[in-house]
Amino acid sequence: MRLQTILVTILTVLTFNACKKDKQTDPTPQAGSKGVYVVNEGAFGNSDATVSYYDKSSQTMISNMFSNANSLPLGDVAQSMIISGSSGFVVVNNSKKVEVVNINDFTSQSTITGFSGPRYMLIHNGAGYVTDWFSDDVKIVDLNTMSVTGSIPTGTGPEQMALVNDRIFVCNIGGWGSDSTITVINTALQAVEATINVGINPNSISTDLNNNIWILCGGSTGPDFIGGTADDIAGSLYKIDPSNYNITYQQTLQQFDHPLKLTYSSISNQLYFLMGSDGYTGKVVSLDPSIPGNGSTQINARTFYGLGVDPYDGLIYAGMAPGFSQNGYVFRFQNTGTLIDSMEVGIAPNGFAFKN
Amino acid sequence: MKKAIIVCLLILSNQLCLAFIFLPDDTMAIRSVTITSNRPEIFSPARPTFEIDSAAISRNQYSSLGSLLRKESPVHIKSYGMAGSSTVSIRGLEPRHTQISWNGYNINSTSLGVSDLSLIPTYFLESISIMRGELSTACGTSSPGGVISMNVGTPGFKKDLKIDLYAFAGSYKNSGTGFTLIAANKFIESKSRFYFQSSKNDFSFYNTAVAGAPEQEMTNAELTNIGLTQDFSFKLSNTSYLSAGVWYQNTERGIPPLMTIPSSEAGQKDSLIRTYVRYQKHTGKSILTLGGAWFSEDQKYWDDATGLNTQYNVRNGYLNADLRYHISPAIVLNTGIMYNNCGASFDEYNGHQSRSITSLFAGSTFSPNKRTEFSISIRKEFGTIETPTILAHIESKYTVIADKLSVMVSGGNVFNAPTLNDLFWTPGGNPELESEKGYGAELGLILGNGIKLPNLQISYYINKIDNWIKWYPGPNGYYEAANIKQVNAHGLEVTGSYSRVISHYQLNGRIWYNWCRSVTSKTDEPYSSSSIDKQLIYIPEHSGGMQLSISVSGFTFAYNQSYTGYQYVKSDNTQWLDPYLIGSFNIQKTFTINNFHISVFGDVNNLFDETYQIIAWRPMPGRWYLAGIRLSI
Repeated sequence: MRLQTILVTILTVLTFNACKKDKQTDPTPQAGSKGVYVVNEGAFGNSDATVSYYDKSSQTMISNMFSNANSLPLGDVAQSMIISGSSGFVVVNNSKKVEVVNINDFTSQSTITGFSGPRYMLIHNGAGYVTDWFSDDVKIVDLNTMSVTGSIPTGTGPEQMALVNDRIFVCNIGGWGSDSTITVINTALQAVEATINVGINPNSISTDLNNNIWILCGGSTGPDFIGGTADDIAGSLYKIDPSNYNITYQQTLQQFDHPLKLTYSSISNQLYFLMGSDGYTGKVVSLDPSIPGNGSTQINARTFYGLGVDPYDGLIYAGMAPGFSQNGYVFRFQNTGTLIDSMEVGIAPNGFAFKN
Repeated sequence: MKKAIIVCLLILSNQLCLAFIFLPDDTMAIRSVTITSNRPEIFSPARPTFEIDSAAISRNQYSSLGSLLRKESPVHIKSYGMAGSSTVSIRGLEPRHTQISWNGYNINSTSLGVSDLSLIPTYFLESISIMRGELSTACGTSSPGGVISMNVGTPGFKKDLKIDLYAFAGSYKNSGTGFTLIAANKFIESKSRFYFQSSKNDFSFYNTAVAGAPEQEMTNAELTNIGLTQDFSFKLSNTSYLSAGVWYQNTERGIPPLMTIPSSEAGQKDSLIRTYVRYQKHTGKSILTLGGAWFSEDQKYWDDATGLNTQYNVRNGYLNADLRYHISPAIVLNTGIMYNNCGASFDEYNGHQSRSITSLFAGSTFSPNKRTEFSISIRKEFGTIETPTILAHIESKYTVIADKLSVMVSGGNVFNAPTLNDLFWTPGGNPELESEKGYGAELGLILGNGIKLPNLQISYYINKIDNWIKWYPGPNGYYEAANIKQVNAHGLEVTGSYSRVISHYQLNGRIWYNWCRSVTSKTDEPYSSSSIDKQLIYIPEHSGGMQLSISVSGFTFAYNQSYTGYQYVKSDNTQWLDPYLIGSFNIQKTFTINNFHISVFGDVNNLFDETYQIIAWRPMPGRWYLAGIRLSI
C-alpha cells in the first residue's frame, strides 16, 4: 500500500514536471541602433508592464526589454518614458517608481522612489520633474543622487507637462475627479507662477513650431464613467501664448467627444490626437495648428489606446489594446495616414519614446 | 456595541435553552425524525458527491474553508495570499458559477456573485460536500459549475452535553481559539460556537521583483476574525421539528502589497449576520420543508495611499417550501418554490439596487429496475431581471455490476444573470451586459465502493457558455465588465478513495486528478484572435492531489499533497505561473480519561518549503508550523 502510494506520487510528480514550459527568448537590440521604445502599460494590479523596442535597422520588434536585461519585472502600470542623454526614464505608476535604464541595453541604472502615483517626467537643467497623482504635486528629482528632493503643489491629478521658456506647464487632469487648470511652474524658482483655467480635465499638452502651447481637454464622461451618455461634458482644445499665458484659441468639441494623447510633429506641422467617446481610446486625427477652426481629419478608422509621432522621421505610431490581459499591437503610419505595418507588443501600448 | 448586544443575546438564549434541556425527562421515548439530504443530492442523485470527512474538517479547524479545500479537495482555489481573499473554480468555470450554500441557501455575494472562502472559518462547519457539474434546476442559476454545501448536522434529539475548547498558535503570530457547547435532550438541541483568530502573516519571502531578490517581510497582511454561531432545534412532534440559527462574524484585514509595489495602506472590514429557520415534517410518504433565511453583509474598503474609500451594504432574504413525495418505492417526486429578494447599497451604485426572483422547481427520480435510475427536473424563474425560459436537467445511472461498476450520464442547460456589480458598479459596470446561457453535460464511471474495493470515479464533462461575463483590468485603473462571445470548457476528473482497517490501523486515502481545458472559443472583440482557443487565465489545465491518513492508538497521521499545473496570467497564454507541489503534514494524539478527551495536534504546512505564487506577484509563505490543543467532554 505504502509502496503503491509512493509510486503514484513519484509518477505524478514526474509526469507533471516533464511538461516544462520554456520561456520565450527575445532577441537583443543592435548596439547604438535607432529605434522606438513602446511603453506597454500592462493591467492594473497584475505587474505585467513591459517595454518593447522597435529596432529600425533590423525592422524587428523586441519584447520585454526591461525583464530581459535585468531579470526583473518592470512593475505595475508603466505610464510613460522619456530619453535624456544615454538614459531612459520609465515611469511606473502603481509601483510608485521611476526606473532609470541605459538607453542602449536597458540595464537598470537606478530606481527613483518616493512617489505616490507618478505619471510623467520631464528633465530640465539637470533636474527631473515628475507629476504625482495622489499627492497632487510635481516631485523634483536630483539626477545626481536619483532621489526626490522636493515638490511643487499643483491642481488635482497632475498629468502631462510641457516646457517653454523655463516654465513647466502642467495639465491637471483631475485624478479620480475633475479639474480644469494648468499649473505654470517657474523652474528657476521651482515654484508655482500662475494657474490657467482651461476646459474640463486637460489630459495632454504639446508645443508647436511657434512655441504656442496646445492643450487637449478630455471633458468628462460624467458620474457614470460611461462615454456617450447624457451626462457627458465635451472635450475641448486650447492654445495658450506662453509669454503672457493668455488663451489665444479655444474650441469646444461635440458633446460625446473625449479626445486624448495630443502630440505635435514638426515634420508635418500637424497636431495629432486620438478622438473617441469613451475617454481612453480613439481614432487618430490630425489638425493643422495654423487653421484649427477647420477641424480635425481622421487618418485611420481603427481605434487606438496610445499615440506618438517620431520626431526624426515623422512616422505615426499608434498602440492598440485589444484587452488588458493579452498583448497589444503597434501600427505604423505615414504622416499621410497610409498604413505601413503592425507589430505585436506587450499589454496596452500607451506611449512611445524615440531614440536616435 | 451591536456586536456586544448580539453576543449577550445569544449567550442568554443559549442559557435559557440549556435550562430547559436539563429539565428532568418525564415523557416517553419517541422516534427521531427523518432528515432529508441536500437539495443538490435530491435533484441529482446519480452524481457522485465529494464529502470532506469530519477528520479532515477537524484537522483544518484553524483555517478557512478556502485553505481546507485547497488542501483536501479536487476544486481549484484562487487565493490572493495567506490572508487574502480566495475563491473557488470548478470545471474551468469562474467562481460565480459555483454556489456556496449554507444550510441550503446561496451565500454568494449578491453584488459580486462569489463567496470569499477566506472569510468562512472551518471551525463551525459540521459537514462540507462538493458536487461538481451543472445543478441549476436544484440550486438556481448561480450553479453551472457546481455547489459546495455547508450544513449544520441534522438534529438527533438525544440527551447529550458536549463541551469543546481548543486553542492554537503558530508561525507568523497566528493564534486563535474556539469554544463549542452542544446540549440536547429529546426535545431541544442547542449548538453554540464561538471562534477567534488573529494573524500577523508577516512571513518572509524573497522578492524576485526587486534587484538582488532581497528577503523581505510581508507587510499589511494582518487578519483578525471573530464570530459565533448559534443553532437551535425543537422537536415539535414525532414527525416534525423546527430549526433556527444565526451566524455572526466580523473580519478585519490588511491588503498586502504586490511584490512590485513597495507598500500598501489598504484594508478591508467585513461584517455579516446570517440567519435561517427551517420547519420539517415527514409522514410515511412525504417530507415537507418550509424555511427562510435573511443575510446582512457590510463591507468597508479603504486605501489611505490613494484616498479610495468604499463601503457597501447587502441584504438578502429567502423563503422556500420543498415537498418530497414517494409515489411508490420506485418513484419519488420533488417539488419546491423559493423566493429571493436581495438589495445592495453602494456609493458606487449611485444608490440602491435590488432584484427579486421566484423559482418553481420540480423533479422526479424513478427506478424501473434495480440497476437503472432516472432523474429529470425542471426549474422556472420569474423575476425583476432577465430569467431563463426554463432550466432542465436529466440524468441516468446504470449499475453494471453492483458495488463494482456504474455508469452515469447527465446534462442540462445553464443560465447566469449578471450580478449587481456587473451591471451597476461605477466605474466599470455595464448595464448592457447580457446573461450567460449554455449547457453542461457529463459522462461518468463509478468503480468500487471505497470500502471493500477502492472507489474510483471518472467523469468527462463539457460546459459551453455563451455571453461569458468577464471583468477586464481596464486602462483607467479599474476593471470593466464585458461579454466574451463563448467559452468552452471540457475535461476529465478522476477521483479515487479507499478506507480500510488493518489490525489496529485505520487507513484512509484519497487521490484526484483534473484535466481541464477551458478556452475562449468565440469572441466579438476585434483583434482578440490571439486569445481564441487559449486557456482562460488562472485556470490550470492539470491539477491533482492526494490525502493519506493513518490512525492507531489515539494517534492520527495525515499527509496531504496538492499539485497545481501551469496557470496562464495573460489570455493569449504568453505568460504563466509555474506549477507547484504543496505538501502538508498533520499529527494528532488524543488522550481519553473517562469522558474527558485531550487532543494535541501539530501541523507543518508547505512541508517542502516550496516557493510559489497562486496569483502573480502575490507571495505565499514557505514552510510554516502550527500547534494546538483541544479539550472535549
